[in-house]
Amino acid sequence: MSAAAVAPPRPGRLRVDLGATLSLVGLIVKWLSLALVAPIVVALIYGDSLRPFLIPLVVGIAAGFTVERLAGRRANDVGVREAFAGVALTWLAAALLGAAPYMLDGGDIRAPVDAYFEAMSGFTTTGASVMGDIASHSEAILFWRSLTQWLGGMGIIVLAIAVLNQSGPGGKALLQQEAPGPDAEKLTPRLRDTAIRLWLVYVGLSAALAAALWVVGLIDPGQGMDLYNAIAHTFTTMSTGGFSPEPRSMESFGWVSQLLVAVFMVIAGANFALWYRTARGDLRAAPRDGEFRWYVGILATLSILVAIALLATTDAGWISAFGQAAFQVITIMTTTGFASQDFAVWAPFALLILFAAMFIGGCAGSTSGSIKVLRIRLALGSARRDIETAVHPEAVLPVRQNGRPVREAALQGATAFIGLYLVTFAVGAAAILLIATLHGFAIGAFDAMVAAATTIGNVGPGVGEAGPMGSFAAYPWEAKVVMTFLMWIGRLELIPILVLATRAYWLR
Amino acid sequence: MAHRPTTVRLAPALRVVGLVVGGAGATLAAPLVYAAALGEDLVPYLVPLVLSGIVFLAAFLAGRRLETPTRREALLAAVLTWLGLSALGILPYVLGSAPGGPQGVVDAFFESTAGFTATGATVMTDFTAQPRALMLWRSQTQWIGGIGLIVLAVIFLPRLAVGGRQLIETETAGPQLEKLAPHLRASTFRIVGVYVVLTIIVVVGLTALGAAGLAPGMGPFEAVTHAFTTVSAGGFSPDSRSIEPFGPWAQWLIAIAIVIAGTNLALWFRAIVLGRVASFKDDELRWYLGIIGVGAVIVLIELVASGTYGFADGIRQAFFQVASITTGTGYASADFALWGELALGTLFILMFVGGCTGSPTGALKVMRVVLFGRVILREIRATIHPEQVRLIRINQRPVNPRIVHGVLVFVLLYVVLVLLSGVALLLDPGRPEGLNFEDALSASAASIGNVGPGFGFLGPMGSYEPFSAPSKVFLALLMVVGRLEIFPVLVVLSRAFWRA
Repeated sequence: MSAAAVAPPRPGRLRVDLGATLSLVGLIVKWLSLALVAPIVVALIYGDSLRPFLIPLVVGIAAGFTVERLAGRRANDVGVREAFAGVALTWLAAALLGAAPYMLDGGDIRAPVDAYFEAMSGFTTTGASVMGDIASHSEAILFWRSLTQWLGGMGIIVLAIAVLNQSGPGGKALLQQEAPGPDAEKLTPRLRDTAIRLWLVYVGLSAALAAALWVVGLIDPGQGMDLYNAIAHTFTTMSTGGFSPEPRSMESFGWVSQLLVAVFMVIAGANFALWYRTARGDLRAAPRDGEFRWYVGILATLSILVAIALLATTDAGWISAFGQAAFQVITIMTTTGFASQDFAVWAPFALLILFAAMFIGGCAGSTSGSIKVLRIRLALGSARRDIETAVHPEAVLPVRQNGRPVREAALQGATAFIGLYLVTFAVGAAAILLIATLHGFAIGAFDAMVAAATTIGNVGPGVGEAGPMGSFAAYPWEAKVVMTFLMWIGRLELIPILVLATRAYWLR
Repeated sequence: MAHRPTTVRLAPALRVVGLVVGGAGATLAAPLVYAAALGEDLVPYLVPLVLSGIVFLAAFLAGRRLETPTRREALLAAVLTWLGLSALGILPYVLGSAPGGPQGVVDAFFESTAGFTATGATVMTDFTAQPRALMLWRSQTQWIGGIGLIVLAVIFLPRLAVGGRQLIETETAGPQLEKLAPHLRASTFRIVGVYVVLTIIVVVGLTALGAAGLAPGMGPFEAVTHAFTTVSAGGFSPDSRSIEPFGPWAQWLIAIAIVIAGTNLALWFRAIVLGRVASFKDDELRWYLGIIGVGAVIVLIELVASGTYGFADGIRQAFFQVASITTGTGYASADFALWGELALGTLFILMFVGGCTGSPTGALKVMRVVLFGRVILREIRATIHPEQVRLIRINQRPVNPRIVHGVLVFVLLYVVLVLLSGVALLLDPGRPEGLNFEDALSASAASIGNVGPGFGFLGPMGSYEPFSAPSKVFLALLMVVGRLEIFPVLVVLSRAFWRA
């Protein structure tokens, strides 16, 4: 407010540097297009058509280059304000690039709405699909689908900062808007170093998982895990994405592969800063972290509850019930969305627990979506403090995280975020239900709620025919648009998008 | 505040409970007299009347040797009072109800709790078979519960400093419970005064309509019982079809009375008795009326578009139902459980809203909803200028950030409690056949919000009778938790409460 007193406001003037914003978008699209080289290699190996990838590769580079040029090549001028629009637009543009191969390939998701849905589901690491028949698609297309998740997992822009060293004064804001969680932890004072380190940890863990899966497949061919599947599933495990080139998802593979994937989902759902510190020799970094402990505790508790439900309602044995329960809870709570079984047919109790887990998510600074354990912890902490204040009105009680008191603004931010998340979810569910009703598409309120929760939380599977072995293909196209929007806004954690809807953002 | 390192003593708390429950029991004299006049059985009212007299005397006499309750003990008393009232209400039902009524202990506890918490959920399936005096008592419990709530809302909750309640009674809020300043009692009496006057107006109005032949079947008995449950936002009706049979005139009158009952009653005192008409320029009141208006328009669209009603009837039905559900009354002018998805969805959301602070309504309260919305908008705007401090204002006055945060936490807690309770109902192995997710959620939202009817079989013309005994007890406890605004119960259950 004091700043306004110094410089008199000039009403109606745009205060966002669109040139810098578009330069950033163009720059990133230009380089991101190069990722299409990977499916081209796969297409060459398997003898698939190259056309769906070559055209977007060329067009993407050209379009990115042109936009960047026309906007004045000023990506380094991106400030805090431009970071919001920049991140939001970059993700919309990335999904456009991701959708092109699906449209050109002419499969069952060639309709623009379907292709864009699938691409957004990829980059946002949701894993919800509109593919009716996965087996009808080529290896190259399915590889691209998995790759989009891997790229989106740690963040396209974080990658750009790491690789391109393109970050002006708004670099920190860019990182902040894209990285999941309330506070992007600075691993090093220099922003680019942080971005590089995050991606190095991500690449390192991915390489470890891919190698392990491949070796397991080599030793025991009964696992059904070849090199292609090892890489594709690594992409979608480490990003907590959940796409699988196999129609039966993880059910197609043996228990060793499932166990490996489960362990790495847990790793991917934890704060990557912890793994960085672990790699640097601080082996107790993760077990000491309060959020990590809650995260593991919640995973274990929910797994036990689901296991009890399975033991009570099915004839599964102890080990099988616990294994299935743990895998399913991990995959849903980390917002991955693989399936080791069609959980849509499980008892209502198990289903409701999985539904609740969709709202939890992994830790801050992970590749997972949804609300995140840290925010839930802070909100519960402030509720608990309110109770204690009621008993001891004079006491000043801070909420602590890892022994340090949390700032009041951070508490407020966490609680407000959860409120905003639930409101957005409710509006989304209502919209999906309304659209379905108008189309005479028979889904219940619960199905609509799951569809909204699974997309805004970047989880993936729904219930009913949209279950883990099914797809959202039959949903009305307007509902798909709503879900695409929810994936986008959920991945960027609502506020960077919603702020674009305020007048104060655009005009002075 | 006295700084003695006390633990909580039960005796002073129980004394308060005894006085309140015993005092409430004295009002059993009304159904007793009515039963005598009609020649119905007197035992169901006489036995609890004598018992509550004994309780009252014991509490009164024991009190001479007891200190005044501390803050914590008063809190405990508030929680136990509601349970005590529910227990008191069991006897008349068990002793007096005919088949189709709450004859078992669990059913009687449910009905009694739904009465005193002014929820209005029922397990009755046969309304006409019940003694009239019992139906009078049933409506009367809601009216008494309404007074209890006013005292709770004005005296206890603001002092608890949780859930943002301290904001609400700015006029009366003070730091300490021990020093109940005279003006505090005065303001309680003021609100209760408005409450009583409003009740009398509704009784007179309904009786006049009945006498003029404009409201079929509306005699003095119906007028009194409906006035009791209108003003308290309770929603019990001695008629199985709720307000439907009494015709448009009575429905309009009751709808308007419901809306008034959901406003801050202190505003009326200030405006009419003190002549400060400007009191009506109130943020909360404006939002309250706005929410009811918008809700009614949405429901109207659904009703007219689906061809359920014509425009004229649609306005009345939509306005009545939206007012009834928003304030947590739970009357029905038609079986809304049969309406379309859009209307049901709107009504479901409105169940969370409640009336204004300083009214006998339940749920979140409009003030909290408004603050919640403003916090979220601020959070979005603040991302551009994180360093800028922006205060949230109500009626142009900035609100203490701690209060704002308390409201935020309360709203989240409330929503999560509704969701988890809905899930818990589904987990009951003895749940009614075909209980689906939506119906279970509506049951938990309607119980915690003290609304009453839900959707499906527990709709306004239905009953909670099909639920199993454990589920009924659970729902009754949810009503108490909702009535006490969650936090007092959590506080009493916390370890810190019982430690020195």
